[in-house]
Amino acid sequence: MTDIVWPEIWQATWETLYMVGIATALTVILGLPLGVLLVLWSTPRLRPQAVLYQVLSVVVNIVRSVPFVILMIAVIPVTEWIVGTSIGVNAAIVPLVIGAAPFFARLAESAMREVDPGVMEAARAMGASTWVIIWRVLLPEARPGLIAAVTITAVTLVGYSAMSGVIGGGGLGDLAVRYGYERFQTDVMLVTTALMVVLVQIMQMIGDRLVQHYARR
Amino acid sequence: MGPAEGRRGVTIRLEHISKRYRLGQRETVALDDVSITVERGEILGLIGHSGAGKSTLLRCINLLERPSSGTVTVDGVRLDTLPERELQRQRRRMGMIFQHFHLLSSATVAENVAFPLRLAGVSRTDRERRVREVLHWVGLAGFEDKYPSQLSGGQKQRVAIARALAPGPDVLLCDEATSALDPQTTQTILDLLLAAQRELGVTLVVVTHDMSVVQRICDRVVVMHRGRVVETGTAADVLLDPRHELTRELVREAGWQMTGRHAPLMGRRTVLTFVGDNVYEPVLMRVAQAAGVTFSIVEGRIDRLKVQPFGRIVVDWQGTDEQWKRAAALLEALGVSVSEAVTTGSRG
Repeated sequence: MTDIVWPEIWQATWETLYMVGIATALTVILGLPLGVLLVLWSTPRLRPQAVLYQVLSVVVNIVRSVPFVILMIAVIPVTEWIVGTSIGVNAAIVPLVIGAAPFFARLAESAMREVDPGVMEAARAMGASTWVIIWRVLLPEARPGLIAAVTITAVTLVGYSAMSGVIGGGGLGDLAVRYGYERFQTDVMLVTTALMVVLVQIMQMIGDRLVQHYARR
Repeated sequence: MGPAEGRRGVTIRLEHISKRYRLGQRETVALDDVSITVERGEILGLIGHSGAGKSTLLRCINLLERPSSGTVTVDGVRLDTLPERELQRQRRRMGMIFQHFHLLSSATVAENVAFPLRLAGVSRTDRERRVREVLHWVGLAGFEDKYPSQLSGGQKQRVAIARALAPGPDVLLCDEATSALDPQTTQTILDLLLAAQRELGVTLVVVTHDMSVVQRICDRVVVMHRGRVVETGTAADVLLDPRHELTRELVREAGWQMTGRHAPLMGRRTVLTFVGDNVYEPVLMRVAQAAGVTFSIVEGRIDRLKVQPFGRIVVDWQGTDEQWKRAAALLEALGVSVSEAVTTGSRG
């Protein structure tokens, strides 16, 4: 194990954390409103919009059905337009968010569908507007499910971020591809993989703790 | 919570309300030209079997359900023509409670009760004071920081009542509020609803399928069947002298349609109905002595109609026609209503 380049591994670990962290945050910021719209437009008591729902639903499905490796390459023009380059950690974040946001939107949608419609009716009876119902009933009541959705999304992003190594995205996956796959340094590949396993375990644990804390049913 | 003095009453007026649903090709009529009024300060019962339209009608009062046609007027304000924002303001004057409570599971008891106060823009300190006050009133002082999952069904319904009453509404709409509760808890919740009427001057509209709820708290009752009103009257009239077949059935389910059919006939069979304090007096004994007859009680039940004592017994009288005529006259004079027992083998 003498030729393992530890400084590079730590650097790559930091890059993965950075990519996954920023990408998760942006995914939630983009995906949660999409999830809310999916619920809003398909629930009779909120703001039913059959046509808009179908359009949004189809768009979400299309993005979700494109394999991430292909999506990553397909959005290179968009990445270049936003980041200025298509290589590096920041550039990797763009396809990660585009790939994960529709996925998270669906997870968020199903978490919000679990909310008792009766509670929303009670809020309406108290004179709450649709906005207040979303903000003070739908989102807080769905909180445990939403946290679970964020956890799943973050874990998925760890996997996606490893794939972005293929296009020089940086991070642990990149390292694994460059040393492990291209130079046949199995030990580097094993170490990077082990680190990713540990990372995923920690994220899952934090997520589960938070879900438990917020689940009051 | 202060007493009711000076509170403005409300009259709810629903006129020619119809509600039609379209399910594919078929059109279902949930409400068919229903008109009702609710007097200020009364407890009005809406009773009927499930699917009769009573919950839909209740939801028309605060426009949770939009009628296909007809008008909704609460305290002189036409609600059905109001724009959404104005309607939201009007809804804040009406509380509502539900069979399954519908509390926010992610919020504490205090946060649940504070919810409508926040909507009304009440300041934080006033909110806290009011939450404590109203929780105390429903008998849940000290429960502020608990979560709904830690409460029993009866306690949850108390929280829901506290939440509904927190903004000081004029009207409380109750949708099968006791149907998910055991009999003992039901009684405490009904007592609380009665207190809301008496102490706070709130007008209540109570949807139920259970005639005993009507018996215990309602002043007037509207009987519904298949989207129509089939009978309306005071709780006493409807309970003691039901006209429509469905009403008779509901009264029978509540055990007030007595015939004594299981008892062997011991003479002239009559059903006696007592309303008021004479329930507790030795009326039968006096009549028997004065008229020279004897009697056997074959079935009976004494209870209260809201607060009024009331009872019904099936009595077989032994004596001559002449003696019985005297006894009947005496009973009527003492305020007891006498009717021949109908022996309908088909019933029950």
